[in-house]
Amino acid sequence: MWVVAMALSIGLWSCSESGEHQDYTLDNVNFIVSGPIYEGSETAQYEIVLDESLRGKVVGAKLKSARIHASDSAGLSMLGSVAFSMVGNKADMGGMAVLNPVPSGSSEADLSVSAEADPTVYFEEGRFYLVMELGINQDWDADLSVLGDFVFDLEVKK
Amino acid sequence: MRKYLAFAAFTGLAFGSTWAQVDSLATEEEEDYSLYDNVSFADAGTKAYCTNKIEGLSPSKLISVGYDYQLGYNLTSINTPGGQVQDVYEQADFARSNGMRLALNVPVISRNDLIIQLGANYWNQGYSLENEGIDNPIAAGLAANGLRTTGMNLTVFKPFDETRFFLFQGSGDLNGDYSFSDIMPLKYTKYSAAALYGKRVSDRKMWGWGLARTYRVGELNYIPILLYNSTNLANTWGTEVLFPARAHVRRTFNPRSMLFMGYELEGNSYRMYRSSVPQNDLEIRRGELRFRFVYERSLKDFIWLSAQVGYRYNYSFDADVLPEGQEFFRGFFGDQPLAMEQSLTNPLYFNISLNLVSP
Amino acid sequence: MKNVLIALCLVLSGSLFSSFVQQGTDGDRLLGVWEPSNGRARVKVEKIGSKYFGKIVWLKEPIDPETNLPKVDKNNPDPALQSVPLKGYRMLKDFTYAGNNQWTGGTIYDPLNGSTYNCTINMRDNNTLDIRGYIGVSAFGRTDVWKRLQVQRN
Repeated sequence: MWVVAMALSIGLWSCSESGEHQDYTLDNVNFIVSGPIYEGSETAQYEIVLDESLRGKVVGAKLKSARIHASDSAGLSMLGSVAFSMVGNKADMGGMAVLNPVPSGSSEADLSVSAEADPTVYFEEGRFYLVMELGINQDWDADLSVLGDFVFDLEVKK
Repeated sequence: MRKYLAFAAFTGLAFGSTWAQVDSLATEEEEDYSLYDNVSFADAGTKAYCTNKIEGLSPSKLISVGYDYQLGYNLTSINTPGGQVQDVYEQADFARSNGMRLALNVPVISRNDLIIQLGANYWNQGYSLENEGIDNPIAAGLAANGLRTTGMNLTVFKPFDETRFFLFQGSGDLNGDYSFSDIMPLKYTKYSAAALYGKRVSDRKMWGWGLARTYRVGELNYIPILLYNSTNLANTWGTEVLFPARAHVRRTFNPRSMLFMGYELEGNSYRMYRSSVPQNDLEIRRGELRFRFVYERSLKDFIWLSAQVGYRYNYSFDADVLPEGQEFFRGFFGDQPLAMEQSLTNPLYFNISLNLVSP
Repeated sequence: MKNVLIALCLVLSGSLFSSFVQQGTDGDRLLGVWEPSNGRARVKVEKIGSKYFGKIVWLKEPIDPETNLPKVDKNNPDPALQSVPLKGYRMLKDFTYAGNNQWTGGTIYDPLNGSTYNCTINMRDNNTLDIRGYIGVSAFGRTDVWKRLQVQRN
């Protein structure tokens, strides 16, 4: 009887922790660095507040892909490198993806995503920042706008 | 009522922020990174100091738990009170000699301009005698009681400026065949010290010279010492030398994995406190050269494994009589007679340890 | 009377929030450019959200002699992140102001060996920081003194 009760409780725990997988997409996140810009590293951040329908329900997350693309005809020519991190007000910053070097002449490029990175804590917190470290390879008088597309695989409690 | 609430709400919320999603695009203030080439300290009187390390050096160990194992070897003992041969004992055959080695180092002060570190160590060595019952009281004593060292040490690193520094280390060791239920009086403690003046020439080279009072050759001696640490530009090769105590060439595979080739001089004076030996106040002057390969690698973060394999060359295992532990100085050229002449054959040895390393 | 009390509560809660904001301002004294004692890098401390981060803005030796390219985080334990440039790298992360001139809860990263240490920052004076990196307990650590830098603007 005791063994049956234990098995049931373990089974129930498994059911309560596992969830459905769904893609969470952030398209055209606009990372803007106001000009004039100088050669070096610039930081751009974007705050995400998770929708009410997902708050408190995400039990697992993985970054599937991260892509940057140009917002104008200049392409990504200004960029030498891109490093993407996430951070929450409680959750520690974690490196997620990198592209170094940015292929010259490209208007879009995929970042290399870390298989070890785990963004679950940010979705659990429900509110986090996307942080882009942009390696700028030349001085520029105007604003710089880089668009980012991110796809996360979320495991959501039923 | 509404007026009060409206006023209060305005006052309270005036200092707050919204909780709605903010598509904030907060960015850095524009900056020219070349600005950071041209800086000065905000504090005009700031002084810079050199560190006690160079790039590529192996990490220093905060906690070390290790095990040392020597393969079999022989001991010959001749009792020579007053320098005259009195007894020639039977040769002892040891199957092995092994034991735990523990060390702890705590940086009690760790600043730019001063590092003070306190350390403690405990080494235990047991001896397994193959031919028990032979007429060799030293071998019988070693087999019955083993030898151990319990010590404390103090290290001070004082940089004067960006290149020059002073290093001092002092230690007190209680060495012998005592047990913790029958511990030797502290008057038998052996004191060692070393002081050197050095220069950190660059991020990849440092040297120093000084003087040491040491028991590493088995008995008390005063010897000059030379420090030389270096790393090549690619951080693939280096040297870690504190001559004559130790000298190694380092091959760095990556910052978490290194191989060392070289030697270490180990030794101390061990009092036969419990064992029945032919002369009272007998102290074995143990000194040995360990030629070795050492492989060190990080298992996880700051937990490092160190594995040694080498050849233990016996430099000295002779014995002197030290009434009340009163030390005397023979040095390399003294002619005071030995109380017992002993020699060991030379085996292979292994040593493995788990270490918590320092930031 | 009841209405006055409600209004008073609202004002007080706003004031408390205001004092919280004031504490954040005290924490902002960490913002600026700092140099570790070895002089090999310069670090700019910034704020993301409510936490403080320090990124490398200058390297004494910015080029890797093996590759002749700008240095990257080649010792990062995560192979996928070993190409992140060191210039712009956040070596101080996730510090929050704990009051009493102390910032806690953060980590410091050593790009020389790819190790991350727990870290506490104490502000000795407005131009001096004691950065203590440690393993587990503070006793097993090392304090480095960082000095504030003034940028010479032409």
